[in-house]
Amino acid sequence: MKRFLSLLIIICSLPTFSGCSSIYSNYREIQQLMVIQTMGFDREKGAMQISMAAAAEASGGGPRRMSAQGGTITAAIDRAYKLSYEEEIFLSHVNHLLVGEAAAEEGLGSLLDYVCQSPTMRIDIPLYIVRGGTANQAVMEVGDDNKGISEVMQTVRESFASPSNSHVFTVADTINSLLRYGSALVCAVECVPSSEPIGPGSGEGSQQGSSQDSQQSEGQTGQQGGDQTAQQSESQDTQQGEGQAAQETAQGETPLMAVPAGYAVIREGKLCKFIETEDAVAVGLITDSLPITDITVKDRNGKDAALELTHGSADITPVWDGSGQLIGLDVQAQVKASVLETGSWEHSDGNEYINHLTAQLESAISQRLSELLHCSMQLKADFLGLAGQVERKSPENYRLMSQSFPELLPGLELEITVRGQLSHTNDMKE
Amino acid sequence: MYNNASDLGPGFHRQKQPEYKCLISSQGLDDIFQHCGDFETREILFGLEKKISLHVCWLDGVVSGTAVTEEIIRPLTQLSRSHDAGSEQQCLELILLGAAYSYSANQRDTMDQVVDDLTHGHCAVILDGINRAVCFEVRTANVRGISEPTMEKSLKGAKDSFVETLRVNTSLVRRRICSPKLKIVESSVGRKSNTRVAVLFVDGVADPATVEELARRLDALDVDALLATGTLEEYIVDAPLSPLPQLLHTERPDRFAMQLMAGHIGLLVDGIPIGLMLPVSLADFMQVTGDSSNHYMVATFLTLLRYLSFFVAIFLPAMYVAVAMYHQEMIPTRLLLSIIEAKRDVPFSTALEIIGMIIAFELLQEAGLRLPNPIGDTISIIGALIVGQSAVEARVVSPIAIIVVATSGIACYTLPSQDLGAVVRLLRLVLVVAALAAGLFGVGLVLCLFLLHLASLDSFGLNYTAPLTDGRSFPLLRLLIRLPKPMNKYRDPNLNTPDKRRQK
Repeated sequence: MKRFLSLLIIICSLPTFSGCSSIYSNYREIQQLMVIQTMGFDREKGAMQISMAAAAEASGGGPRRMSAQGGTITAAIDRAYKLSYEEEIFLSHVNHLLVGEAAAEEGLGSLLDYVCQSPTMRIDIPLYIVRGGTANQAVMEVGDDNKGISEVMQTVRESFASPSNSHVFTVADTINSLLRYGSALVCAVECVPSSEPIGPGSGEGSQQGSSQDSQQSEGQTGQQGGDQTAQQSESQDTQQGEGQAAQETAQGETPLMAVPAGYAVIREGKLCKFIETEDAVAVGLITDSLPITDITVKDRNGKDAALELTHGSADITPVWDGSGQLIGLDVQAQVKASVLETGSWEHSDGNEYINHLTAQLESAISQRLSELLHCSMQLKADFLGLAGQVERKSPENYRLMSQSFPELLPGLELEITVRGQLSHTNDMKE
Repeated sequence: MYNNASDLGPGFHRQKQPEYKCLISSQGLDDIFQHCGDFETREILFGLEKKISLHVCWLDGVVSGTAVTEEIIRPLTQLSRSHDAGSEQQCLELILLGAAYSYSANQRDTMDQVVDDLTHGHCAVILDGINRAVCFEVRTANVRGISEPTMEKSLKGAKDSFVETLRVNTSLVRRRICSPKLKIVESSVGRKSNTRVAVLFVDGVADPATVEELARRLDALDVDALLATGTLEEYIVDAPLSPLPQLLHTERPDRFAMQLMAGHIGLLVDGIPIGLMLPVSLADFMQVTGDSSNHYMVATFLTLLRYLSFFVAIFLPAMYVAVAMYHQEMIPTRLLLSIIEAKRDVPFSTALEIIGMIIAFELLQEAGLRLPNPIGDTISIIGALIVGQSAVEARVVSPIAIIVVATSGIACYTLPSQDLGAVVRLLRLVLVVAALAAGLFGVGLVLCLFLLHLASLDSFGLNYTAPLTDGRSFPLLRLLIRLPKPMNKYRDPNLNTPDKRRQK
């Protein structure tokens, strides 16, 4: 009898296992899902505009994109649900969240809140700010018939990511940093025209040319920002209306590419400044996640020499006065690099040559650290999490601080010491 | 309390005796075997003298005619061997003392004994005057020869397997355990079939209480005929309604002997080329004979692989259905996209695909089993290649469904026990239906019920989930890891063996 009752209780409790809805309502066929991989958020005339892109179909159907508007994110997504009558929009596999620059300047609060409270979206989704453009443009126009924003953003993510993958800041990182330090860093991307046709069928000559263009555009990201903004605003004008799917890349037009564009500083939930791509080295050193990256210095002949940074770390020690007030930060960085390319035909095994390059490396790293930290001090934004490092070093003094750390930031004295080491030169002539 | 094999008596099946209440006589036997075409009787004169008439009876085909002629009729009719026997009593004594050549001569005092002997390949010499009989074992040698095992193959193990003759089977075991400690207690089961059943155990190793309990259950068994293992199994196990196998089947005498030495008790049934072992737990069904022959690392790896296969066989289709229909967020994005691409244009739901494929798989298996080997192979090829490929090309099923069901099926075949494999196949289908109804919650619920049933199951006092649930770490370790033989000194404590050590 007891066993029978136990079974009865278990069977009766079956419906409660299936959540608030009945046990059949949350069933859905897998092939009817439209798996959204990239979402974009913009604000347009006070309304929230969302843009969504699914992965490109293996059968060659191309990436599917759509956009919708609403008063809130929820309303916009509901609108998108209604418009996708054939397939069910599935947001659990969103891998990239893009926010337009204008929307980010207005504030990320509603977006972060939505992602946090959404039952379908994860909070470990990387967050990007579209520098000098809108997320809608990035989602709807980047790529071509074969590859869409999702595939491009995957490449962007890999280029941002260090081996530890810590350079891509997720929604969770952003929320955590905002809550702890009041500001946060978010990766930035920008849309640039690419003359390289993506996908099969492109000729060898055009590939070479486009490759050069691409390199140029990557190298001159900072300077081209204004021109690109203009192009993007033109693109925005031609944008599809509400709920209209767009299959872009008309013949003869140059498809857009999304490329890394440094970092965006978020203070009190709003975008306040961009940090250039070159400063990624400094960001990596401070956040203890230095990616393997290149840095260009001048050799003894004044020509450019490329060094590859392989290891690096920075140790931040707070400096306290006699009364227990924080008066400065002592930053000691160590970097290891190898010589990739020298500017002149010269044996690179001489001590003098190595010492010169090492000094150049130390100087360059020191300059970038200084610029980054001064940026943080000027903005009164601890987006690098310096307070956490200070607290770990001197928890008692930190607890007794009379002012908040961001308030103290502008008045702090910086002492930056960089020790460089060229581990090997890769010079086959040796 | 049972302490020795002799306590059980020569045959502990004591029901319905005497079945034939008449005194031993040739006429009585004629009446009993009326309309039995193979019953033969012949009247002879002891020493060819007219003083004493004997009736020799046998069942044609069951006994060896040559043996009856040469070992019984010929010596009994020789004048020189009669020694002027004056009475039938003297004649009986002479026969028992060697007047007949047969190695086995037993005096019988009841008709039941005579009938039992006749049906089991004996020849009976009836002395009507004193209502006694002498039975000689003269079984025919026309039995199937010992062949290689067909289901439990082993690379390094012995190549013989049980046959349909009980005595051959007991001899195969006896050759491996050459000790009087190996006890073979026989009885007859079945009112009509009179099937000989032998209980084998190693005295001092097997738990006496378990032997006694088995004897009690066999004694209580009252059926018409015992012609299949299922008949015996369903009557003597603790939970006959449970789908889980509660007796370990083996066709290998070496495995049978190993299990006896481990403390298990064996059952052999005349006419069935399978040995049954008890008590058993779930872990016993995951072991194969080859483990003892393999290097301990290889054996451990294969054991772990079998457990992995067990879970894959049970859960893979259900997990696929649950995840594909309810929990798509659990699938990695690239895999999800691949599945969607494969499922595109397939008109059936995921669950229907999987259930259909499982049923098709079972149909193919049954078709392959029922047909002769060459045709069975053809069926497999037709099923796997032609139908499967055509179904995928016609978008009736998705390739991923075929992969899931085939993987589960292959994993199921790696299980050493076909009985356990059958339960796994059944449970797999139940889990798929549960996954269809309520996703992972349904799978979890059925799993809970299954575990509840497992935990409540006993096999002759041994918990079915032992040693997983008895709280002892060493047996659990030994379950997953095959220790080197010198380190494996003790028998399984769950079997309550009087002799705990297997080596110094």
